[in-house]
Amino acid sequence: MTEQWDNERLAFTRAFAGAAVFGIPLVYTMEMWWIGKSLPITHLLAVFALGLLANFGLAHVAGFRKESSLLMSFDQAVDALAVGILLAAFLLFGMNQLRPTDGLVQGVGTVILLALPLSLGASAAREVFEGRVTDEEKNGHVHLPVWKRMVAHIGATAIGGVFIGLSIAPTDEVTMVTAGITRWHLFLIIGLSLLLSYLIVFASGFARHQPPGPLHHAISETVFSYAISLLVAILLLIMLERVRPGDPLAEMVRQTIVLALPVSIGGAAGRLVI
Amino acid sequence: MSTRLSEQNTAERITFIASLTILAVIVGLAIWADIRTGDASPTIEIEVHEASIRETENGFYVPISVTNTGGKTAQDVVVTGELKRSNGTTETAEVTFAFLAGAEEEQAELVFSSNPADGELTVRPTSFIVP
Repeated sequence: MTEQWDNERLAFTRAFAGAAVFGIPLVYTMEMWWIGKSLPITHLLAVFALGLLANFGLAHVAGFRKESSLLMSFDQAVDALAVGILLAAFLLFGMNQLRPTDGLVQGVGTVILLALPLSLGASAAREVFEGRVTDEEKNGHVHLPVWKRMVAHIGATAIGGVFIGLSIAPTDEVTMVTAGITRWHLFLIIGLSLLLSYLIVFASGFARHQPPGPLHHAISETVFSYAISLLVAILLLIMLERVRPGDPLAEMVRQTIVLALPVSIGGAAGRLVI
Repeated sequence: MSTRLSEQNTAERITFIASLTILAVIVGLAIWADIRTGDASPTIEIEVHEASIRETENGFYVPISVTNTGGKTAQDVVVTGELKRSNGTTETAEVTFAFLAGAEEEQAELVFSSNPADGELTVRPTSFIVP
């Protein structure tokens, strides 16, 4: 019984991690928020049906669980879509694009629209991430010096962060989200950044074949990596002239925190590769 | 059904039911939202919060709430405030909302250089795109 639940916990953590990595650029796309609001119900239901069908197909060939009978594929497709819906709702809420004051129904269209790409990420998660044992690991554990592992860790976090961050930093979404959030949303975004990067690297079991990182402790490594992500985010904003010297400091900090969410997700994905 | 029961373990069955519930709730909400707002053309209603007008160094800030009471979404909604001063001159202020979905409410502020209390203020929608 406990083993069953351990497997389920791993499957869902993996699904959330995959959804975050693959879906985050679309969550930071304002057209997705707006199109979701204006789509007629027939189109929304079509998107929903497409999501179910696409996830069913993916679950049959990939999927975040091991079984692939038709019935279990349907089970996985439903689970993946539910994960997509929940993560879309959490992220939109953190970005203040899903507001309780709008009435509960206001953001439903956006949640359904975003659940499609997020759930596909959830379904693809296992196939992409699991069981990539490198030759090095097959041939025995190679002990790199601490400084080398530290450099690899920082490099992977930064490169992964730049990879996703570069597709978001030049767009207006960062400024728009920043303008529309309160300080409580900032705390929520920091929390989501830490939680998702923790889930991706440590709780998902993707990285279970790997030697521990240079910092050894999961929490301290997550926080250290978040600091790197903040640095990458501010550098991207400066490089692309989204913030300029002389801008109010508070505004720079807010924009950096908003951009650091996708950057930290990219950074966590980057660390899986080393 | 018996195949499913033998294939799914208890944990999988419980998470499956939970996921199915989430899916049912979201589809139910979408349908309910559609029935509630209908597909009536956008109608923009504006409320001026006169009690909350603020005076600052660069003018008088007039908070407004703008609601699309129709069902369809309106794009690039322009709201214009016109202040007829007591001396006969007119001052206008304008604000644009990128999107207003059916039943959606947004807040904005119009800025005038003279006190709206000393004149006649009318605030009305002047244009929008039906996407």
